[in-house]
Amino acid sequence: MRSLYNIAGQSIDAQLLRRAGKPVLTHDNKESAINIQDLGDDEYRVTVGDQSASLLAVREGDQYFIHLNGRNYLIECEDEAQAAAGGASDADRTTATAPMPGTVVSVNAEAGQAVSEGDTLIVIESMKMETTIAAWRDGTVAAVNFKVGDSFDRLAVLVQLEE
Amino acid sequence: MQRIISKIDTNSELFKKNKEHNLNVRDEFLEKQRQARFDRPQRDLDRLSRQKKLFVRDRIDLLIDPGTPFLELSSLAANRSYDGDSPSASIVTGIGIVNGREVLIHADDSSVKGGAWYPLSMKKIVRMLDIAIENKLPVVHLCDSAGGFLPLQSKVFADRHQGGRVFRNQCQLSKMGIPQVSVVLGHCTAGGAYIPSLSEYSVIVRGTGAVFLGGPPLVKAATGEIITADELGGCDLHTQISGTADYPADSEQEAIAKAREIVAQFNPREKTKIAQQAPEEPFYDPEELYGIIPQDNKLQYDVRELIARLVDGSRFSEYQPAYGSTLVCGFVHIWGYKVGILGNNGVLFNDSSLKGAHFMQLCNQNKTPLVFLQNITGFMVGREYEKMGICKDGAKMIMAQACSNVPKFTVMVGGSFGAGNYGMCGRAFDSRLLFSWPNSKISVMGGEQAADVLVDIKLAQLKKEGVTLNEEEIAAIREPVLAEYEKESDAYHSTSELWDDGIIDPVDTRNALGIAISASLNESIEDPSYGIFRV
Repeated sequence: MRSLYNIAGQSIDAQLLRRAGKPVLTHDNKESAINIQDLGDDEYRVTVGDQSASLLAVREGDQYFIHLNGRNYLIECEDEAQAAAGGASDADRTTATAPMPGTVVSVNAEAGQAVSEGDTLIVIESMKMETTIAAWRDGTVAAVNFKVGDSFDRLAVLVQLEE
Repeated sequence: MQRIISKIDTNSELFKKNKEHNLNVRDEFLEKQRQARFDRPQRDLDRLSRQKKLFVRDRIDLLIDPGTPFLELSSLAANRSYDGDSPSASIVTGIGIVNGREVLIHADDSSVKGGAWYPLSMKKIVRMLDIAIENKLPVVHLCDSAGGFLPLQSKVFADRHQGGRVFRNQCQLSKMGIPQVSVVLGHCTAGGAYIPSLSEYSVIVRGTGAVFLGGPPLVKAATGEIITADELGGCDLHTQISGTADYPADSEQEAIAKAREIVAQFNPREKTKIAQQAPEEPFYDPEELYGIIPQDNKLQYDVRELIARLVDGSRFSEYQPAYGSTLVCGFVHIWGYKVGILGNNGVLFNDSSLKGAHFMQLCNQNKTPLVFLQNITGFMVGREYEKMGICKDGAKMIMAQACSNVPKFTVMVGGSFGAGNYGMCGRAFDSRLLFSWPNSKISVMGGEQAADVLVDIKLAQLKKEGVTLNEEEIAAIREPVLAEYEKESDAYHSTSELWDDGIIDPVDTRNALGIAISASLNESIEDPSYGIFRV
């Protein structure tokens, strides 16, 4: 597994490896011998290369809280795929299309109305299920194409937001 | 593995309202369960103490290792039958730990009608033994039953899954090398006599325990012989003379301790190795489930929000996140065990069915157990979908599911309608264990749809006769159908009929699945094999 850490908002690539049975830390193309001594009560003596320090460390899930030299640090382990994700988003999308044929149960927005992400735009029913179509981003409603009781086909454009 | 990012606002009005509603639903369930477990007429409890017998719950407490969980199954079986005269179907069953070994426990409850077996008691014992066979689990029987409930004898005796099946299953278990211990704490009469007789080991309590083919009243009627129960089939007769029972005991406490000692002598079973890592609590609090489950099952929500509150670290490696989005599939860990999980995010379309079939094949290929979170209104209907072959794509999903050789577990988390029940591993498809949430509902189609269909048929019939109906008359046909559907589709009805292995509090789902997965690994996992996929 490739390890990525976020320390104070900065993403850091550091790997713990083994060389001839001894642990080493690689970071910035540099390898340093590392030794961690558990002193009990969440206290550790950490030696990296020729530097050594005592610190307090507590783990909670993916987060480590470190107290070192009078300062607190939050270290978060990042997911490899998530960190490398391209950031595709809904920001440019202008239409909400019907996932399946159905009828309109309620219309909760009108053209010209400003909406925030998560606001209910329209509620549809199909196959005994009510589905809420919510604003996928902040914006202004350009058009609501159906009214209560109308039926529609799959992929019909239900609501449009302005670009 | 990526953590699910919840979009739930726990401060929203909707969340608070859902939570209030679902906590009431939960409290109602817990109260029904408490009543089934503990509410007994005082005279029955007095009778037990006069007979120096312990209450069934106390016997189980003595049997299992202190501080270990007991996964009780079908605690509300028969809650809608026999005017409530048979709480939990007069039997307690469940998975517990005895001297470090996972075992199935079957305990008769003689505080109700002498522990007589009703038809649903038979169904519950047979199911318990099926679970033992499927998961290769040893069984401890705590026997104290008057035998079949005679007023209903025609429904407990002769059919394929009635009385005889208990003994057939016991023999099959023995043949597989899975041992059973019976502790005779009361009378084991007629068919009941075969439970200890077919067990590998049996313990019998002096004074209260007895085993005989015909009890004293039957013997008197048949031959005129007058004899006490103890002389006829008591502890000393069977442990000293007949050899029907193995170990004598002077008290229930001694008998149960002896049973624990016997279980400790079983050879430890090598468990099937599946991918496993150190367990981690879910990142999102399972208590938040109450605020997510909608008040009405027909309201759609994202099943990932449930997954986030059931699995280790709320981490989810989602499979085909952009394809067939109404079926959410992916890998998770539950109590460290890697499983493939499938949850519904709407109706099953062609693409979602294909995705489900493919995902299940992946899980079978790498021997990964499957967990189904069932909230499904069915496969999509309409000409466009028939044209695309929704029937044959659904058939592929059902084929992959039904032929899966990995252990399967199902949780009914919402609606379960029509063939959706099949695709998502309903009761007929042999989930190792199947649990229901108290809000869940099961029926062949929605109540409203069924009522509409029946009204349409009626109207068409009458039209031929030249009769038309007014609104009131239509309502008179519709309303009773709706009411019946409502009653027969709720979770209490399905659990009463043993269509599941019990209703559970949603927050207990993670633990129940953990125990279930662990127990299932007592059996090996076969290589994948299927029938014909209609391509």
